[in-house]
Amino acid sequence: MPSSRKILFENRSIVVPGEVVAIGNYKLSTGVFRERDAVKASKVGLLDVKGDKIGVIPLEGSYIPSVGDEVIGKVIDEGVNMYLVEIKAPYNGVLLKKIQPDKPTKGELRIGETVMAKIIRFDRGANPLLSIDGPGLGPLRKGMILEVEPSKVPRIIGKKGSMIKMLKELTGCDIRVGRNGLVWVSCKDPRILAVLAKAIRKIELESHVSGLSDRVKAMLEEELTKVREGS
Amino acid sequence: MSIFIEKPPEKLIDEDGTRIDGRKPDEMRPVRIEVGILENADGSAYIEWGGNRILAAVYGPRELHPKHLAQPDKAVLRCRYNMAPFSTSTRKKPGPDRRSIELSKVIREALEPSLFLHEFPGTTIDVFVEVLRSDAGTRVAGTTAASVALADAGIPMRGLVSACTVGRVGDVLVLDVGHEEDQWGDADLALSMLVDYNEITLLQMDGTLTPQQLKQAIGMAMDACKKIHELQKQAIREKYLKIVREIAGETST
Amino acid sequence: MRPAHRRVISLLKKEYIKTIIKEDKIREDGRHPLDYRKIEIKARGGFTKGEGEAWVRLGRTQVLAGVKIDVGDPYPDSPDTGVLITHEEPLPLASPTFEPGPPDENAIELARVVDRGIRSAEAVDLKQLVIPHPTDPGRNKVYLIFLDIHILDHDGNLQDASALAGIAALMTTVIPEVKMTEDGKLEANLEKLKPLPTKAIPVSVTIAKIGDTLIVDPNLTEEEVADSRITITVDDHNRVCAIQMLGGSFTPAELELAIDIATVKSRELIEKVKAAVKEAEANA
Repeated sequence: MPSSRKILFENRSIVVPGEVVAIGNYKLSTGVFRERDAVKASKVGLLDVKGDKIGVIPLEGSYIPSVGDEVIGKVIDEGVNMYLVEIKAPYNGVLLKKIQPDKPTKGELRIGETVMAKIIRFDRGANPLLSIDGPGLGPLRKGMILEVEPSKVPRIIGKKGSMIKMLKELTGCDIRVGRNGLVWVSCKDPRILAVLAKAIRKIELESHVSGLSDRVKAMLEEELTKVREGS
Repeated sequence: MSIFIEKPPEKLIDEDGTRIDGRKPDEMRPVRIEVGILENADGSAYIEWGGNRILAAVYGPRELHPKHLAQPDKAVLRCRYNMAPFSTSTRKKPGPDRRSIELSKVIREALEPSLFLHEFPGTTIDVFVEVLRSDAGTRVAGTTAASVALADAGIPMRGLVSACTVGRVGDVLVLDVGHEEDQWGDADLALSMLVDYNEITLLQMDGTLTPQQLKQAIGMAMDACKKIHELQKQAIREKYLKIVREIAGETST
Repeated sequence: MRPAHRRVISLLKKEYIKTIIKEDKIREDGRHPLDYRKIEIKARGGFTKGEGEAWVRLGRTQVLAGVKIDVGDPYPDSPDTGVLITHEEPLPLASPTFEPGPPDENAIELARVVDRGIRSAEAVDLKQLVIPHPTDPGRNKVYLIFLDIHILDHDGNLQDASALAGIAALMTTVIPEVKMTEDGKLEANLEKLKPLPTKAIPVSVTIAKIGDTLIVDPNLTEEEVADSRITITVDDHNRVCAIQMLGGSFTPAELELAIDIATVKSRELIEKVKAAVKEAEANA
C-alpha cells in the first residue's frame, strides 16, 4: 500500500549497516536489503532515493567485477594459453591468449605489465574473463598508476565525465580510470603528476561533501600555479 | 619472575553499591571509537573502552591461499585476536596461546551472523583484533571494534554487532566488568548481539550465577549493547562528518 | 603461505619512478631525494601498558613500541649488566602481504638492527640496571628491559620508523625501584619510579639507490623498485653505531655519500626524538 510508505532519512544522508532507511514497498537498488516491511542499509554510504527506487551509494568496499566494466590490471602470471591479471578484486582476472593464426596477438604481455581490459564474463566464485580487444584496450606502457577506493570511482569520473574532463584540462595530463579503482595517468612533468595525485586523493576523501568539483578546481589551480612558477 | 604482583583489594564494592573504580553497578566505563585509522587495511577501527586500547582491522574479501580452504558457496571469515606483549602488566610472550585461539574463534562466531558471506564465494575476509592495552573486557571491546571495522571495509552486513560484559560481585550484578572485578569477582558474562534484530551471537560465562541472576545479567548486557550500538553508528558517521566540518571550516575562514 | 603475486612489481611504476629520479631528481610523491616524509612521534600516549612507549607515524607507515620491565638473572658472561631484549612483530593488520605467524627473517633482521644501534651507542646504561644482593654479588639480579615494536601500517622504511619508536619509548620509560633483601627477596616499589638511564640517542637513516640516485626514507613502492638499500644508524654524539645493507650493491663512492647523508639527516631525526621526549615529560 503506497500510503504506508515512508523514507526515514533525508536523501544523501550517511547511513550505516542495519539501519532502516525506509518502510514499505520500494524497489531496491544496491546497498540495501529487505527485512519484512523494512528496507535496510547493508553498507555504509549515502542514501539514494530516485522516485520509487531506494539504494545506498557505498562509501567503502572492494571492487566486485561486472561484465562490461573497463578495468586496469597487472599481469602477475602466465600460463600456456592465458595470463593471470590482478585487478584489485577478490578474484584475479583471466586473459586468454589468442591462438588463431590469422589474428595476431595485440603484443605479447610481460609479467608486471599493466593492461586496460574489459570484463567479458563473470560468475561469482570463478575468475572473471578479460578481453583486450577494442579501442583503448591493451597494455599501458608509459605513465603511472594511482590507486583509489573503488567506491569513489564514480566521483573521479564525475557527472557525465565532468570531473575527469576538468582534471585533464587543468593538468594537461592523460587520464584513464579503471572501474576497479586503478587510475592510469601520464603527465609531461612529474611535479604536475604529484599535484594530480593529490587532487585525486582529495576527491576520494571528500566525495560525500557537496561542492566537490569547485574545491578540487581551486586546489588544482593553486598548486599548479606554484609548480609552474617554480620551474 | 614478575615484579607486578597485584594484591586483591579489601573489597570490590561498598555497602552503598559504589564499585572499586567509583562506578555504580549499572554504570559503564567511557567508550570512544575512531574509524579508519589504518591506511593499508580495507577497514579499521580503534576503540578506547575504560583502560582498553584495541585496534581492529579487516582485509577482504580477498583470494584465499591455499585454495583448498576456500568455500565454493561463501566467503570464509577468519579472525585473529592477539595481545601485544606490552598490553599487560607483566609482559605477555608474543604469539598465540590457548586463550587467544579460543577468543579468536568466539569473536569470529560472534561476527559471522551479521555478514552476507554468500556474496563472495571462494574468498576470505580476515579480521584482526590487536589488543594494545588490556583492562578487562577485551573480547567484547574487540568484537565491538571489529564489527565497525567490517562496516568500514564496506563488507555487506545485516547490522552491527555490539558487545558488553556483566559480572557478579557478591550479591550485586555489575555492568561492564572492570580490572579488579575481572580478577577477583565471582562471575563474568560476555555477550554480543545484533541489536537491530535482538539476536544474541556470543554468550560466555565463568564463575557462578543463579538462573535468575543469569537472566538478569543477560538483560543488563543487552541494554548496554544498545548504548554501544549507538556509539558504533555515531563513530562510523563521524569519519565522514569530520571531513564535512573541516571543509565548512576552511570555506568560512 | 604468501600469495606469489604480491611480489610482482609493476613495471610501469618501476619505469616511472626510475625515469623521474634520473631526469628530474624528483620522487613519485613529489619529494626531493633527501626529504623524509612527515614524522610524528607520540611518546607516552597511554596506548599500552608499557613502562615506556612511542607511536610513530612516518608518512603512512605506523609503528608502536612498548617497553616492559621485569627482573631476572643476568647473563652468566655479563653479571653486572642489565638485559635488553628487542622484538619486532609485523602484525598481519599492517599489510596485505603480512601473514600471521612468528616473525620472519625480515622482522628478525629489523629487530636486530634496531637492537644493535641501541646497544652499540649504549643508549641504555645497562650497567646501572643491576639490583645488588646486600652481601653476595653472585646472587645479584638485574632489570630486564623488553622493547617490543609492533608494525601497524606498512608503507615502507620500517627501519627508521622502528628505530625512532624504539629510542623514544626507551627514553620515556620509567622503572620502579627494586631492592633485594638479605634472604634474596625482591621488593619492588611501584610508587617510586625513576627514569630508565639513557646515554645516547641512536637514529637510523635508510637510504635507497634507484638508478644512480640515492634517496632517503623510501616508501613501499620505492623499496620495491630500489636497486639496493642500506640502513645507517648514527647517534647524537655523531658516532655511526650500526650499519645494515638490505640487498643490492653500492660503489665505494656511493657508500661515502650515503654515510654523509646519514650523518646530516640523523640530526633532524634526533631533534624529533628530543622534542617528543620533551613533550611527553611536559605532559607527565
